[in-house]
Amino acid sequence: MAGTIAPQREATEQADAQTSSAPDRPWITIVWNDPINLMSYVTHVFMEVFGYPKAKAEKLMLDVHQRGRAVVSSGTRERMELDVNTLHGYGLWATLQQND
Amino acid sequence: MKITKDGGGARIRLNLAESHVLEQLFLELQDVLDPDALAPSDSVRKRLYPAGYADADDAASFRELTESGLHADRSERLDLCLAEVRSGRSLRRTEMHLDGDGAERWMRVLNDLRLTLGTQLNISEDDDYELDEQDPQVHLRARYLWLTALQDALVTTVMG
Repeated sequence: MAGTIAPQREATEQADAQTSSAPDRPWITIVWNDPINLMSYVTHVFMEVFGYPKAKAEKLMLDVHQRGRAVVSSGTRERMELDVNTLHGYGLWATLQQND
Repeated sequence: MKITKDGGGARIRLNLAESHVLEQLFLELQDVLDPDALAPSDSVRKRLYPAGYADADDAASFRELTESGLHADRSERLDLCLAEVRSGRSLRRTEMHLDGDGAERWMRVLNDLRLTLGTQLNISEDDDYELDEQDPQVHLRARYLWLTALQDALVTTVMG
Protein backbone atom coordinates (compact mmCIF):
# COMPACT_ATOMS: atom_id res chain seq x y z
CA MET A 1 0.00 0.00 0.00
CA ALA A 2 1.09 3.54 -0.60
CA GLY A 3 2.16 5.25 2.59
CA THR A 4 3.99 2.34 4.13
CA ILE A 5 7.29 3.47 2.79
CA ALA A 6 10.16 4.90 4.65
CA PRO A 7 10.14 8.01 6.73
CA GLN A 8 9.49 10.96 4.46
CA ARG A 9 12.50 12.80 5.81
CA GLU A 10 15.02 10.32 4.44
CA ALA A 11 13.45 10.20 1.01
CA THR A 12 13.44 13.99 0.89
CA GLU A 13 17.11 14.17 1.81
CA GLN A 14 17.95 11.73 -0.95
CA ALA A 15 15.88 13.70 -3.42
CA ASP A 16 17.57 16.94 -2.39
CA ALA A 17 21.02 15.43 -2.80
CA GLN A 18 20.10 14.22 -6.26
CA THR A 19 18.32 17.29 -7.54
CA SER A 20 21.17 19.55 -6.47
CA SER A 21 23.47 17.71 -8.87
CA ALA A 22 21.05 17.39 -11.79
CA PRO A 23 18.00 19.55 -11.31
CA ASP A 24 16.55 19.15 -14.79
CA ARG A 25 16.35 15.40 -14.96
CA PRO A 26 13.19 13.96 -13.42
CA TRP A 27 12.98 10.49 -11.97
CA ILE A 28 10.95 7.77 -13.66
CA THR A 29 9.31 4.53 -12.58
CA ILE A 30 9.78 1.63 -14.98
CA VAL A 31 7.77 -1.59 -15.00
CA TRP A 32 9.56 -4.58 -16.52
CA ASN A 33 8.04 -7.54 -18.32
CA ASP A 34 7.78 -10.83 -16.50
CA PRO A 35 6.24 -14.16 -17.52
CA ILE A 36 3.92 -14.58 -14.53
CA ASN A 37 1.86 -11.42 -14.05
CA LEU A 38 -1.34 -11.59 -16.10
CA MET A 39 -2.08 -8.94 -18.71
CA SER A 40 -5.51 -8.37 -17.17
CA TYR A 41 -4.02 -7.95 -13.70
CA VAL A 42 -1.27 -5.54 -14.83
CA THR A 43 -3.88 -3.38 -16.58
CA HIS A 44 -6.00 -3.40 -13.43
CA VAL A 45 -3.01 -2.38 -11.28
CA PHE A 46 -2.17 0.60 -13.53
CA MET A 47 -5.78 1.77 -13.29
CA GLU A 48 -5.92 1.25 -9.54
CA VAL A 49 -2.54 2.69 -8.56
CA PHE A 50 -2.30 5.62 -10.97
CA GLY A 51 -5.97 6.21 -11.73
CA TYR A 52 -5.25 5.86 -15.46
CA PRO A 53 -8.23 5.27 -17.77
CA LYS A 54 -8.49 1.74 -19.13
CA ALA A 55 -7.18 2.66 -22.61
CA LYS A 56 -3.99 4.20 -21.19
CA ALA A 57 -3.50 1.35 -18.72
CA GLU A 58 -3.86 -1.20 -21.52
CA LYS A 59 -1.38 0.63 -23.74
CA LEU A 60 1.20 0.70 -20.94
CA MET A 61 0.58 -2.98 -20.22
CA LEU A 62 1.12 -3.84 -23.91
CA ASP A 63 4.33 -1.78 -23.94
CA VAL A 64 5.57 -3.79 -20.97
CA HIS A 65 4.56 -7.05 -22.61
CA GLN A 66 5.85 -6.36 -26.13
CA ARG A 67 8.80 -4.01 -25.58
CA GLY A 68 9.90 -5.44 -22.26
CA ARG A 69 9.40 -2.26 -20.23
CA ALA A 70 7.34 0.90 -19.91
CA VAL A 71 7.71 4.17 -18.05
CA VAL A 72 4.57 4.36 -15.93
CA SER A 73 5.16 7.55 -13.94
CA SER A 74 7.64 10.39 -13.48
CA GLY A 75 8.36 13.03 -10.87
CA THR A 76 10.50 13.52 -7.80
CA ARG A 77 12.70 10.74 -6.50
CA GLU A 78 10.62 10.62 -3.33
CA ARG A 79 7.40 10.20 -5.31
CA MET A 80 8.93 7.50 -7.53
CA GLU A 81 10.11 5.56 -4.49
CA LEU A 82 6.53 5.55 -3.27
CA ASP A 83 5.29 4.36 -6.67
CA VAL A 84 7.88 1.58 -6.86
CA ASN A 85 7.06 0.45 -3.33
CA THR A 86 3.34 0.40 -4.16
CA LEU A 87 3.95 -1.59 -7.36
CA HIS A 88 6.14 -4.08 -5.47
CA GLY A 89 3.21 -4.53 -3.11
CA TYR A 90 1.15 -5.57 -6.13
CA GLY A 91 3.85 -7.99 -7.24
CA LEU A 92 4.98 -6.01 -10.28
CA TRP A 93 8.66 -5.82 -11.13
CA ALA A 94 9.35 -2.06 -10.93
CA THR A 95 12.46 0.10 -10.60
CA LEU A 96 13.17 3.81 -10.47
CA GLN A 97 15.98 5.76 -12.07
CA GLN A 98 16.82 9.27 -13.13
CA ASN A 99 15.71 9.95 -16.68
CA ASP A 100 18.54 10.21 -19.19
CA MET B 1 -15.02 -22.47 -9.47
CA LYS B 2 -17.56 -19.84 -10.37
CA ILE B 3 -17.03 -16.11 -10.12
CA THR B 4 -19.79 -13.58 -10.62
CA LYS B 5 -19.98 -9.82 -10.30
CA ASP B 6 -21.52 -8.70 -7.02
CA GLY B 7 -22.04 -4.95 -6.83
CA GLY B 8 -18.59 -3.35 -6.92
CA GLY B 9 -17.02 -6.64 -5.88
CA ALA B 10 -17.41 -10.32 -6.65
CA ARG B 11 -18.79 -13.59 -5.40
CA ILE B 12 -16.37 -16.51 -5.49
CA ARG B 13 -17.88 -19.96 -5.31
CA LEU B 14 -15.61 -22.99 -4.94
CA ASN B 15 -16.38 -26.64 -4.49
CA LEU B 16 -15.03 -28.18 -1.29
CA ALA B 17 -12.05 -29.83 -2.96
CA GLU B 18 -11.01 -26.51 -4.48
CA SER B 19 -11.39 -24.64 -1.22
CA HIS B 20 -9.26 -27.16 0.66
CA VAL B 21 -6.54 -26.96 -1.99
CA LEU B 22 -6.64 -23.17 -1.74
CA GLU B 23 -6.49 -23.21 2.06
CA GLN B 24 -3.41 -25.43 1.90
CA LEU B 25 -1.76 -23.11 -0.64
CA PHE B 26 -2.49 -20.12 1.62
CA LEU B 27 -0.89 -21.91 4.59
CA GLU B 28 2.21 -22.70 2.54
CA LEU B 29 2.40 -19.08 1.38
CA GLN B 30 2.46 -17.86 4.99
CA ASP B 31 5.89 -19.47 5.42
CA VAL B 32 7.30 -18.12 2.17
CA LEU B 33 6.20 -14.52 2.66
CA ASP B 34 8.61 -13.83 5.50
CA PRO B 35 11.74 -12.46 3.78
CA ASP B 36 13.85 -13.38 6.80
CA ALA B 37 12.87 -17.03 6.34
CA LEU B 38 14.50 -17.13 2.91
CA ALA B 39 18.11 -16.55 1.86
CA PRO B 40 18.73 -13.18 0.14
CA SER B 41 19.63 -15.12 -3.01
CA ASP B 42 16.40 -17.16 -2.94
CA SER B 43 14.58 -16.69 -6.25
CA VAL B 44 11.12 -16.49 -4.64
CA ARG B 45 12.30 -13.83 -2.20
CA LYS B 46 13.85 -11.84 -5.05
CA ARG B 47 10.58 -12.03 -6.99
CA LEU B 48 8.31 -11.05 -4.11
CA TYR B 49 10.70 -8.34 -2.91
CA PRO B 50 12.50 -7.19 -6.07
CA ALA B 51 15.29 -4.63 -6.32
CA GLY B 52 13.98 -1.08 -6.69
CA TYR B 53 17.18 0.26 -8.22
CA ALA B 54 19.68 -1.09 -10.74
CA ASP B 55 22.48 0.14 -8.48
CA ALA B 56 23.21 -2.46 -5.80
CA ASP B 57 23.81 0.02 -2.95
CA ASP B 58 20.67 2.03 -3.72
CA ALA B 59 18.72 -1.22 -4.03
CA ALA B 60 19.98 -2.41 -0.64
CA SER B 61 19.01 0.83 1.14
CA PHE B 62 15.61 0.84 -0.55
CA ARG B 63 15.01 -2.78 0.42
CA GLU B 64 15.90 -2.02 4.02
CA LEU B 65 13.28 0.72 4.10
CA THR B 66 10.49 -1.16 2.33
CA GLU B 67 10.78 -4.92 2.82
CA SER B 68 9.28 -5.26 6.30
CA GLY B 69 6.32 -3.05 5.40
CA LEU B 70 5.63 -5.07 2.25
CA HIS B 71 5.83 -8.25 4.27
CA ALA B 72 3.42 -6.98 6.94
CA ASP B 73 0.88 -5.87 4.30
CA ARG B 74 1.15 -9.18 2.42
CA SER B 75 0.67 -11.18 5.61
CA GLU B 76 -2.34 -9.15 6.65
CA ARG B 77 -4.01 -9.63 3.26
CA LEU B 78 -3.23 -13.34 3.28
CA ASP B 79 -4.61 -13.86 6.81
CA LEU B 80 -7.88 -12.17 5.85
CA CYS B 81 -8.29 -14.33 2.73
CA LEU B 82 -7.48 -17.48 4.71
CA ALA B 83 -10.14 -16.59 7.28
CA GLU B 84 -12.67 -15.95 4.51
CA VAL B 85 -12.08 -19.33 2.87
CA ARG B 86 -12.65 -21.02 6.21
CA SER B 87 -15.70 -19.02 7.23
CA GLY B 88 -17.25 -19.29 3.77
CA ARG B 89 -17.25 -23.08 3.87
CA SER B 90 -20.52 -24.90 4.33
CA LEU B 91 -21.41 -28.58 4.00
CA ARG B 92 -21.65 -28.46 0.24
CA ARG B 93 -19.45 -25.62 -0.97
CA THR B 94 -17.44 -22.53 -0.15
CA GLU B 95 -18.83 -19.15 -1.04
CA MET B 96 -17.32 -15.72 -0.43
CA HIS B 97 -19.02 -12.39 -1.00
CA LEU B 98 -16.37 -9.74 -1.54
CA ASP B 99 -16.83 -5.98 -1.79
CA GLY B 100 -14.52 -3.96 -4.05
CA ASP B 101 -11.71 -3.83 -1.49
CA GLY B 102 -12.08 -7.52 -0.71
CA ALA B 103 -11.90 -8.49 -4.39
CA GLU B 104 -8.82 -6.30 -4.79
CA ARG B 105 -7.19 -8.00 -1.81
CA TRP B 106 -7.97 -11.45 -3.23
CA MET B 107 -6.38 -10.53 -6.59
CA ARG B 108 -3.21 -9.53 -4.79
CA VAL B 109 -2.98 -12.62 -2.62
CA LEU B 110 -3.64 -14.87 -5.62
CA ASN B 111 -0.89 -12.95 -7.41
CA ASP B 112 1.56 -13.54 -4.55
CA LEU B 113 0.73 -17.25 -4.77
CA ARG B 114 1.25 -17.32 -8.53
CA LEU B 115 4.54 -15.42 -8.25
CA THR B 116 5.73 -17.98 -5.71
CA LEU B 117 4.65 -21.09 -7.62
CA GLY B 118 5.58 -19.64 -11.00
CA THR B 119 9.09 -18.84 -9.76
CA GLN B 120 9.46 -22.34 -8.31
CA LEU B 121 8.32 -23.75 -11.66
CA ASN B 122 10.66 -21.43 -13.55
CA ILE B 123 7.77 -20.30 -15.77
CA SER B 124 9.03 -18.62 -18.93
CA GLU B 125 7.49 -16.29 -21.49
CA ASP B 126 7.12 -19.03 -24.12
CA ASP B 127 5.60 -21.56 -21.74
CA ASP B 128 2.95 -23.64 -23.48
CA TYR B 129 1.05 -24.33 -20.24
CA GLU B 130 0.60 -27.97 -21.16
CA LEU B 131 0.47 -30.59 -18.44
CA ASP B 132 2.95 -33.39 -19.06
CA GLU B 133 2.48 -36.61 -17.10
CA GLN B 134 6.22 -37.23 -17.18
CA ASP B 135 6.97 -33.86 -15.59
CA PRO B 136 7.94 -34.39 -11.92
CA GLN B 137 6.37 -31.00 -11.14
CA VAL B 138 3.06 -31.77 -12.85
CA HIS B 139 1.04 -31.31 -9.64
CA LEU B 140 2.62 -27.97 -8.83
CA ARG B 141 2.00 -26.91 -12.41
CA ALA B 142 -1.64 -28.00 -12.21
CA ARG B 143 -2.12 -25.81 -9.13
CA TYR B 144 -0.41 -22.89 -10.87
CA LEU B 145 -2.72 -23.22 -13.88
CA TRP B 146 -5.80 -23.38 -11.65
CA LEU B 147 -4.69 -20.26 -9.74
CA THR B 148 -4.10 -18.50 -13.04
CA ALA B 149 -7.66 -19.27 -14.16
CA LEU B 150 -9.05 -18.15 -10.79
CA GLN B 151 -7.14 -14.86 -10.72
CA ASP B 152 -7.89 -14.02 -14.35
CA ALA B 153 -11.61 -14.71 -13.85
CA LEU B 154 -11.66 -12.52 -10.75
CA VAL B 155 -9.84 -9.61 -12.42
CA THR B 156 -11.90 -9.67 -15.60
CA THR B 157 -15.16 -10.03 -13.63
CA VAL B 158 -14.40 -7.02 -11.43
CA MET B 159 -13.12 -4.91 -14.34
CA GLY B 160 -16.33 -5.73 -16.20
